[in-house]
Amino acid sequence: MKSITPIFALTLLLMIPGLASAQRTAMEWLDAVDRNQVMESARYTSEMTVHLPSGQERSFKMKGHTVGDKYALVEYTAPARDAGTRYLRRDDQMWIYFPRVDRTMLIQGHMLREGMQGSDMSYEDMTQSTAWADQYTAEITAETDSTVDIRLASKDMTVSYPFREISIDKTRGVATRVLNFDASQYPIKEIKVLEMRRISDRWFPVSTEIRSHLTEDKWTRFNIIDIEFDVPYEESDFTKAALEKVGEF
Amino acid sequence: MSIATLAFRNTKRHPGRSLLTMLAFTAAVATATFMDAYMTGAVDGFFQSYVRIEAGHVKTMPELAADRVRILPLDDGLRNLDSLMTVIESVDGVVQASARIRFGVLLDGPEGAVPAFGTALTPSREHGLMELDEWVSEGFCPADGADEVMIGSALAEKLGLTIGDEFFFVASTSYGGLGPGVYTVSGIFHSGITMLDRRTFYLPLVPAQYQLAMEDRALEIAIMVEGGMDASLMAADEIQAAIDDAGFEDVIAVPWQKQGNVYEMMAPAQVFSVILMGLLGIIALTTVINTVLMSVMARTREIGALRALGFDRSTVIRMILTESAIVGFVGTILGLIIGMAVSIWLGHVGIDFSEIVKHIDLPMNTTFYPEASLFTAIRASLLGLTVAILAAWYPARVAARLEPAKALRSA
Repeated sequence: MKSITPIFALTLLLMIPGLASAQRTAMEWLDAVDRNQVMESARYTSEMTVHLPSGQERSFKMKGHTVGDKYALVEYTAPARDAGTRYLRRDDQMWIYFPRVDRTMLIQGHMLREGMQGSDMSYEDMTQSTAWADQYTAEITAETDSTVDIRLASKDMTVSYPFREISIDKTRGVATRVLNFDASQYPIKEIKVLEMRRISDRWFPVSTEIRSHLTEDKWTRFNIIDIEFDVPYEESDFTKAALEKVGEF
Repeated sequence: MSIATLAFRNTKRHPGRSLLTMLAFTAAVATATFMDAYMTGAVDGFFQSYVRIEAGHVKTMPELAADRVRILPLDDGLRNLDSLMTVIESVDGVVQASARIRFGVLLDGPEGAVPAFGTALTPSREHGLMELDEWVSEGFCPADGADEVMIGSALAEKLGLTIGDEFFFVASTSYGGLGPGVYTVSGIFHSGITMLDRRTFYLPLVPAQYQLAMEDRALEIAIMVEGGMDASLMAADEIQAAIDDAGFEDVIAVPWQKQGNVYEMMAPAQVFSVILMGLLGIIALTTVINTVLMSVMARTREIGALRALGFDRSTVIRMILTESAIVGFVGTILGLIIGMAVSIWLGHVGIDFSEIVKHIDLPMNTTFYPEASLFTAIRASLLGLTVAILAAWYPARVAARLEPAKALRSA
């Protein structure tokens, strides 16, 4: 009996993380994902490639500044015709500043769900970083050693994606595949994480591919070139005056 | 005494009845003349508006866009536009070619968003096509390449714009992004076409191409050819051959009749015209049968006397038919004069339906101009004379069957 005890104890010890993992609820998994993917505030540079059904591809580069789901400011730096175009998000409104004609345009409501620059990322997708755990109820639908599949249903049917199906990398706590559905539960877009990187104390997706389920052969690839979290922004950094300011933001 | 003389005298014996019969012919032929001219004018006017504002005699467009005539996705445009224009203009019989881009846009108005259509074109290339100058009600048509727009009168009113105002709008680009543009309102137009006046603005092609990210591209090329609308089918084949020879792939030349289903859509109008003629014929026929039959019945003793004097049945039939033909002929002439006069007059001044259809977006002129022609007169005359003969046939047969003795004894 004595000889068995250490082996039993060792086996139990090895099983503890697994047991802990198995006991995680869907909401706990969502919290884990939110801890990695939600940006309280961040500054980043990124590039985006949009592939159109006609076979054309267009690439954009941009700099972004974001504070959770309240404020965001994105500025295109390339191509030349779009360089300097800025998007300011404040709550449910967005202003777009076009330096070429020195005019600002307000968009709001359903327009925020249109694709940005013809991409599969809406203005909301691009400028909002909201915790899923606050928005959805969750239910585990499948689980393996490495992944857990969760179905999310929104508490508010007016959100962009009332239903989602996500696959979470259990080791890193990152949603590696997200299938977004509309209110009638029709799939509208699919997001796949192509690469994730350890940045500061979190795993963060740095390369994603978004495919439209509504248009055949249309996809967008979004790559984070560099990102810095927890930047101390002020509310005054996200004003119309800041949007229309000449020079660097 | 000849049958014709006898028949002519008979028509004068009951002037009231003859006049009534004649008026029936006059009314039927005048109405038929006018309706024929009206329908011809309405259909022709519609086709001419369609060719002018939309289709050209022939339109060149991407093959993928063939079934989507009004607004095309911008990424389906014609590429290498300058080279394509050169090829098209080298085809014999091509009088004018103008590249266009049509796009939808939401404009900011004082009372909210206003959906509108922009049409980018080269104004100097629209002679014989859109003829924008003819529509200008204030200001002037934009100059080629200038940052100017010309706005439909009702749209300008809704947006609160006048000449010299700044016009800023953002449109979707060919790749789905947002393209901003600032223009000066150089002109306001009134075309009489509700949809254009309420929803459309015209701007020069070059700044629009930049705004929409469509440099050296357009969505369509509207082409006018020698020989007009009737020559479009053959011209389209020749243009297509030239485009293919030049190596442009997936580009098609489509005559106006085969663009969308507008031509087929108007086919019922032709059927309606024939049905209308038929109904008018039936109305005239029943009226005339009635009056001629009454005339025969009132003259039973007289017809009996003629039969007793040696008139055979066929002579009686010919006499009655000739009477009806004489009345029908005079009524037809009068009807033609009235119908043609009204049609020609309205053909000049037009019939303005704009008040009636002001809340409906119609892609056509709301003033109709009846088109009275020689064919209109021939068709209406044939109707009148055919009715005259057909309507008298039954009463003539009734008269011919009368037994002389019985007829003479009748009251």
